[in-house]
Amino acid sequence: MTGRATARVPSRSTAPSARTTTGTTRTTRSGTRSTPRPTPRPELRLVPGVPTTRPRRRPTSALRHKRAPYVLLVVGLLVGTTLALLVLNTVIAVDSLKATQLRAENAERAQEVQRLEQQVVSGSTPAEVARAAVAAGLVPAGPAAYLVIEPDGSVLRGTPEPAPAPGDAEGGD
Amino acid sequence: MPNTVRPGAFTSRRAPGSRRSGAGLSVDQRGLRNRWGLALMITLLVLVVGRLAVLQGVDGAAYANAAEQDRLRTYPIAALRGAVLDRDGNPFAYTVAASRVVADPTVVSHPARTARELGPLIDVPEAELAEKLSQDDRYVVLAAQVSPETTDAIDALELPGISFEDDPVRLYPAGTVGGQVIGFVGRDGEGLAGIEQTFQDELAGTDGHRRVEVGSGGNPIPSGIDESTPATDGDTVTLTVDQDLQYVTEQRLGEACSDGATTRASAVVLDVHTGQVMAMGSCPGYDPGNYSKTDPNLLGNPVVSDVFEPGSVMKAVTLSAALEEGVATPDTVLSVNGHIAAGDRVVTDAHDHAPIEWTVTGILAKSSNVGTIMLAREVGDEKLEHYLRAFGLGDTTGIELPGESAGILEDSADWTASRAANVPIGQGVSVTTLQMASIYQTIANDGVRIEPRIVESVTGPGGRVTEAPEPESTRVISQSTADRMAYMLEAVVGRDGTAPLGEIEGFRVAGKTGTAQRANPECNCYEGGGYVTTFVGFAPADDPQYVVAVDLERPTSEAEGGQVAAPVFADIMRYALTADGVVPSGTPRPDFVLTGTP
Repeated sequence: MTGRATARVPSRSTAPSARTTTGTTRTTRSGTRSTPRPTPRPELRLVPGVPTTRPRRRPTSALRHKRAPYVLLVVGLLVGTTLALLVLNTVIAVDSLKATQLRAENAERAQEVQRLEQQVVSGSTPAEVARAAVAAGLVPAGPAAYLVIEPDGSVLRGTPEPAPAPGDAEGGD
Repeated sequence: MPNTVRPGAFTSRRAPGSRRSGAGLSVDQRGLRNRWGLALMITLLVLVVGRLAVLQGVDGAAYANAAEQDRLRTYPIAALRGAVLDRDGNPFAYTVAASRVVADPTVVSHPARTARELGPLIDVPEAELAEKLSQDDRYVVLAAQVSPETTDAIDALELPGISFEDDPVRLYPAGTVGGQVIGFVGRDGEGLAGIEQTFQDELAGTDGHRRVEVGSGGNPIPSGIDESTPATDGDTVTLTVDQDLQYVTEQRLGEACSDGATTRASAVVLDVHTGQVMAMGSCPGYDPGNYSKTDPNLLGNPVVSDVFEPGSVMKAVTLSAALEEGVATPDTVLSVNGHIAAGDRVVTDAHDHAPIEWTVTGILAKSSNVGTIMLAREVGDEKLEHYLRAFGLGDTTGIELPGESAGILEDSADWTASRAANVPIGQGVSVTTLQMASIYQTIANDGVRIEPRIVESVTGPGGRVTEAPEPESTRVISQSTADRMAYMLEAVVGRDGTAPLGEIEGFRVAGKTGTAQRANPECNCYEGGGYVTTFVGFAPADDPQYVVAVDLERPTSEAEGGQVAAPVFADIMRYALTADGVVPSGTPRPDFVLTGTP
């Protein structure tokens, strides 16, 4: 833009532009192009050197043929990965659900075990055993006698006593 | 006028593109604008990038964490308190999993209907439930310690806003049996008495928690975070107590307590060779599972915490000292008067009598106060105190139970003349039932005292067993003294002794009765206090296995230890011997010489 110094300089702008170096004379206020340039613009010429842009190669049909498998491969990979992820996620989700289900079953079993153990414990306390024994018609044992072979040939130690009849037994011990 | 279009109304005041091209600005101005614009853009960019860096880099972890926390729910996993077992593994106390039913009233859609369905299951009145469910709150406890079966039933109703938390239940299947030894646990899970208190740290365990990533509905995300720190259950404490013997002991004490005169009865059974407590109880006892409805005064363990003056059972210590010091032998004959002056008082035998030529065995068999005081004076106060302390008096036994009393034993230097006459016969000195049993364990164990212990081992949740440390054992009297004491104590239980009721068919029994005046707690004097009757003994006398100590508090009765305590002793001892399969004594009871000529 700065190169177009002579073009349509607005009338308000009175200050001379420092960059209007192409002309030696200044244009008049009227800004008309009637005055011809005293010196001609230098001619443009090609400067030898590195081309700034490589000319784009137009894809040939041969190239297009070469690219097709590549595209297919990429698309295949994408689809494959997606499917694999989907399968993997599904499997994990299924396993997770199964684990949750098994955990619940496990908890149920533990509950069952706890319930049964509780039954056993409460049924085997001394008081409960004594009660059940009395209910079954058993009586507390009296003093026990032992058979021990003594040097003098006697074998009985202790004084065995017949147990009382069930109805007479008092207490649970 | 509305239809007139003014010329130039739709014509731009500026030429198209003039703004962009910066028409009207000088080249300098345009440059300036560009630079400022660039600076502004860069500043904004720096700000945005900076903020991004702060968000992602500096605070990133915190925000990610907060987001995760929003999705994570933490549920506590309650540790199960360890069990307390008897020596054979029968549980005295154990804990089972149960739940607390809680509600979030803001989620409960139909409080009335929910209350109607829930009420019968958790046994809470419908009106009370409905009121709780209508509260403006997010957490209401509806029921505590609900069984897993009930929890399942509630779960099946699929009521919105109702959930469960771990709330284990402590069970005491044996009820009152062993209750005073086991103790109980308060609402907050803190052991408040007995083994539950002493072994609080071992029994409690460590709670765990489970963290689950949940979706917006509160349901776990299948592949989300689900990590658990498992709870570590408490250790199991195995006692030396035998549950059956404990039951029999308490049954027998209960019988004694219901005789109309006995207000309290205590007993302890020790293994002679190990000092282990096989049974320990008192009546009235209590059920740890129902402690809140028991008179708080009954929530102790009188066997270790209540002291009383033991009376004549203490004579075993005095006579042990006399034999060990060489002051007398079992056959030494003393002329024993019916009374003896002691300072400002006169101590008499149970019944005053003319002088009798008693052997030392006779003095013990007849429980002569005067004869015992005569022997004690020969021994000397200081020596007697030494033996009393060596037998464990005036100090705690160190048993693993809270609230143990050391008893009362004054320094011999502070003894008055009457105190010096009282201590040898078991007055003016206070002991616990356990200390009393320990004296006789020493004599039965050939003179070696082993501190009584009630805990056998502590088992960790992984099965690692930690045996309780060996109790301290000390020789108090020589074996020959112990043997002669056992011989003399056997005379007590014979026909001519004070406790024929302490006999057990087939077994030789050694023991001693005691009848001591009981201090009346109302006046702190002996007036109206009644008596504490005791019997302590061991059997079989020729090969001792068990020591049983019994004491009965009888404020309104004058009956002696041989009449009321000895039968209790005999019944408990008989069961202990029979259940353990102890073979009856093969040797006959020796004849005792109770009187002689000096």
